[in-house]
Amino acid sequence: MSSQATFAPLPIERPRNASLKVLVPYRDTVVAGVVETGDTPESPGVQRLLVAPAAGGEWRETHRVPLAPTHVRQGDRLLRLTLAQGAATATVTRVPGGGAGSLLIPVVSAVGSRILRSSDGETFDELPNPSPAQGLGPVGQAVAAGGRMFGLAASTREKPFAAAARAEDGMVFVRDDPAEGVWVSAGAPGDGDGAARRVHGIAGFAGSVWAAVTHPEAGFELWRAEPDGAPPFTWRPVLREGTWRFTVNKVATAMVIHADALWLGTAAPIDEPWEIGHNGPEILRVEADGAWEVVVGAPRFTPDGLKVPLAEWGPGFGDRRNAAITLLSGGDGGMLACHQFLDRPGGGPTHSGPASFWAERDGEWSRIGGVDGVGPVTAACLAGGRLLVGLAAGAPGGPLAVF
Amino acid sequence: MTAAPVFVLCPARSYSSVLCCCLGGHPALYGLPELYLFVADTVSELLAASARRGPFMLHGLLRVLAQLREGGQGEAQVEAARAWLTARPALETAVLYRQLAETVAPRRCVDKTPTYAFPQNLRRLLAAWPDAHFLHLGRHPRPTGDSLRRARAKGWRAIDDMGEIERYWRRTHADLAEFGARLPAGQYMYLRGEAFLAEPRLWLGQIAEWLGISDSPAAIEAMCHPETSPYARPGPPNAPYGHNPGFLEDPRLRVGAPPSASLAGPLDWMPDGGGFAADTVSLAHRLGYR
Repeated sequence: MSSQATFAPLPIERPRNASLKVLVPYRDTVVAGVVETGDTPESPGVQRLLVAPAAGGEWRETHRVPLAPTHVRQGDRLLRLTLAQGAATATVTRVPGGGAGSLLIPVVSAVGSRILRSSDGETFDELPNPSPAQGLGPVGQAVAAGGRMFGLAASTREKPFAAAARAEDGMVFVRDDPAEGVWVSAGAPGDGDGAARRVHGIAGFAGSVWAAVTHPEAGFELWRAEPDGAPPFTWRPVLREGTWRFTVNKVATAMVIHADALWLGTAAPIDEPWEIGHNGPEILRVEADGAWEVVVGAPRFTPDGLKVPLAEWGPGFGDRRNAAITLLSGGDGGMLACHQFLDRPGGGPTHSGPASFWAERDGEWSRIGGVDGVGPVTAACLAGGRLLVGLAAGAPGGPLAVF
Repeated sequence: MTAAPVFVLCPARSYSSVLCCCLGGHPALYGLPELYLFVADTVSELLAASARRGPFMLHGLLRVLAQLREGGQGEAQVEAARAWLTARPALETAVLYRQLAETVAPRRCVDKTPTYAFPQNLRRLLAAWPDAHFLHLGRHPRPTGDSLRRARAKGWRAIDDMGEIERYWRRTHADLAEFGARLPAGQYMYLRGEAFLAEPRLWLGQIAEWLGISDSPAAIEAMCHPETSPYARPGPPNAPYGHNPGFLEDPRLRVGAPPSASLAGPLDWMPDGGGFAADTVSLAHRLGYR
């Protein structure tokens, strides 16, 4: 990569306890969201937002949100709790009243969830983030479409491979005012066939809200709704049956808007006995009118015609053992994809093995880097001619790697 | 140079007879009946296998030899073909296959022998024809099993252990999916047989595009008439088969989606009324069945 910028280390207090879950190019900056946890019941966690010039330089903290402590005492023992806190998504979107291209970062916190909104990457408004339905946690992804704001519960997003445990796992929520108001159901993508669909991701694109849906028996689906009139809205299918790869494309694990198209990254199941599951994930591109192509993946027959990968790369960029496209990132720096192998650090398989990063320029994809032995990749983006990689807590060298 | 064949791979009773004869209607393709050549390395081994498993194994090959070498498929021509074959016990089956392919060239052979789906036979196929195209054909496991059970009731290719019906479907499709995943992208494709029957023109056009042959309306129309295949009717008494017997009785392409089937519920062919195993259901989901 040419004319490479220099990014300073993140100014964080406990690098081993820090997870970098958000990395997003925004205007002339890069915004990073870091979750730091404490080691004792007396040391609460914190969600910190930091910003650096996209051309490189120092990171400055711009905002922090308190999180609950992750440890409790039980007698003389210190127990660590599993709390899904912090920010996991950031969306650049046109929000009603928020100007062009606002940045939305939902933060889940046991001591006060909120949605952070910024129009400059430096200052953030704190919007309420109530639970959209009884029994659900707060919103973990927020997007805008058609003059309304849409939300997806964080708890729904967290289990992409699982069938829906309750009806709300298959719902998208909407509210008219980005700063206040209650969430109401925008409807459940699906056709009433009783399948346990789970909505894994949403996007605002071409005036519609789009939902990537896990269908555990048929493969992922993509649905869209035009937010006209009063909710719930009518959802229309765009892609079905894992784009005719069925449950080999069980989940759309990544979704991003880039270059006037909606891009999807897929993953095969990781908990089933057939080794043929290791068929490699795909990258798909969907146009505003619903037309779609395989960018990286398997040639196949479909009701929409013969599909061959535009990038001339087979599934998993030619390595079928790759388990998932875990991240897609767009922006002025180009399109970036991360795929990661399975690992079984504690018994169950997770996407925490070796990861590779691929960048697209003018339709050509090339590998630009990789990491190994650092656990799951939680965020990534291109900025200043550099590849910035966010890692989970415990990664050697801290949560930010720069290549 | 002789173009590599197109192999239709699937368990028995998966609509492969009708698909193979449809493909063979294309002016650039030549649809073969079940040859079984790649279940053995030599003709003598093939003859021995036929002696063990049944004479049906040779019917397709004898009909093709009769058609291509003797000019027709009468009883005498089949006997002449049998004599020619048995006189060449040391002939390698791969060499014989190549001779047949050269005879029908420039048309490409299309072959659908069900036992080619076994791993050892797939290895033979790939060794003989590394540039072949492979079309993996699916059918829902429930009607596949029903069809196999009916075949058993007729005493044709008997299956003694009814549990073997499901295991056969699962093992065959798992082997084929694994085989396809190891091939270079584009050499292997998968198609649900039910989708093909529902809208054959849609899929035949794509298959033609995949194979790099004409997908003109005339070519597609020709592919919609499997009954025009020289192997689409019963052969003479000394080689009556070569395709599914039901297909040979009425080899027209009957357009329309087959009755829907479900993975849930008990299986008629299982004495204990059990349903599909979890592994079968998981694999069926991967192949587009629910």
